[in-house]
Amino acid sequence: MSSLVLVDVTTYVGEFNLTTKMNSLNLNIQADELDATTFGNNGFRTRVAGIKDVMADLSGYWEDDVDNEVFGSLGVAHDAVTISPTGVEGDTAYLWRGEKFTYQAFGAIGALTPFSVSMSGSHNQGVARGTLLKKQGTVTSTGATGTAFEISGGIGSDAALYSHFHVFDAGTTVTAVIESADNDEFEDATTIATHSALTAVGANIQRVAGPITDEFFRVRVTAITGSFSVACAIGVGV
Amino acid sequence: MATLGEIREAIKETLEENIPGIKCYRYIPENALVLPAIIVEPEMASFVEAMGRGTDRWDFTLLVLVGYNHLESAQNNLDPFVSGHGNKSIREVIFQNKTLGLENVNATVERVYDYGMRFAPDTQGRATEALGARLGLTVYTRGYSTG
Repeated sequence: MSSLVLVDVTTYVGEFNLTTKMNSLNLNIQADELDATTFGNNGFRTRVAGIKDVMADLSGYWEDDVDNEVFGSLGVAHDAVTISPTGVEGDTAYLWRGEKFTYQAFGAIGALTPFSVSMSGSHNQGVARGTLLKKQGTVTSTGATGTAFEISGGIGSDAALYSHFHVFDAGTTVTAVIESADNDEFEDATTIATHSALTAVGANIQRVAGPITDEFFRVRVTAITGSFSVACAIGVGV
Repeated sequence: MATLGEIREAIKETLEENIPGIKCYRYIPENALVLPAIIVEPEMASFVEAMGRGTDRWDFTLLVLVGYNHLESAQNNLDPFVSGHGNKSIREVIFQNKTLGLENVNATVERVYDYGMRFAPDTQGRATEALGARLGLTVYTRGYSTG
């Protein structure tokens, strides 16, 4: 990917797609910087990484539905957060679980009403980095959907695969699985995770511990009644 | 979302329906004006207001013109259109009709400027002498269809 003009940062938080309400996003992934300098260190400091953390500042234009979503979920832990810099299937996505700790609304006269939300990681899932398998779209029938993704080398034994399945509008019930295969035709594909019988808006998170030797992954709807608006992302984390 | 053409038409309809005797031109007219008149001129658009084409911003100039025979009487006729309130106030009409009758639209008159502009007939006499002022109108609309 070349340099990117930031116009389509896509942000799913639980059952809410904040993308078109936002005009700014800062995702901050960091590790504590611990000083381990000792005497006799040639006059230079030595540092080691400590505990990792993830935070995000989201801001944009206030609307009733934004307020309803953010106000209602302020201080609620473990929202499934999926952020893609482009919103394009197959492009990078970050997956983590966060909690909204700060919500600010309104501003100066004459401006389009702003809002801002600060979120911090709230779960030992940390941040998984992967891809958007399916951007928000309507599904009404079973079968593979979205875009398959290759993770070169598969998933190591010290890592895990995370899957976020967001439901923005719900029909009656939907079940979706993450399949893996050693080929991009998905011959003899294996179901490695199941987002089972979802009946309401929200998000379902699955974790599959490594090792996974397969390198190709996709999402497939295995049962559905009604029409659903969904999105799905996978990522490699711990 | 609303297209530029839909917004122009909505501005025209909103102003003509709510200001007695005004003629609003959604395009810059080729020929002589019927006065008093308002001309809708797109000035600037921004398509990077929100992620994923969430919001577009259009800035319009509303050029308001009244007939000019005598400077003081022309000002007397122009003032009600550029005032903040009153039955001919463009600002008040937009304030009371922020959506312009469209979905997901928010319009605001933000300023008056260039008060006292004078327009003279050309050499063929194809225009009416007029006194005018400009108003800055900002319109926000969705950048995508919700349908």
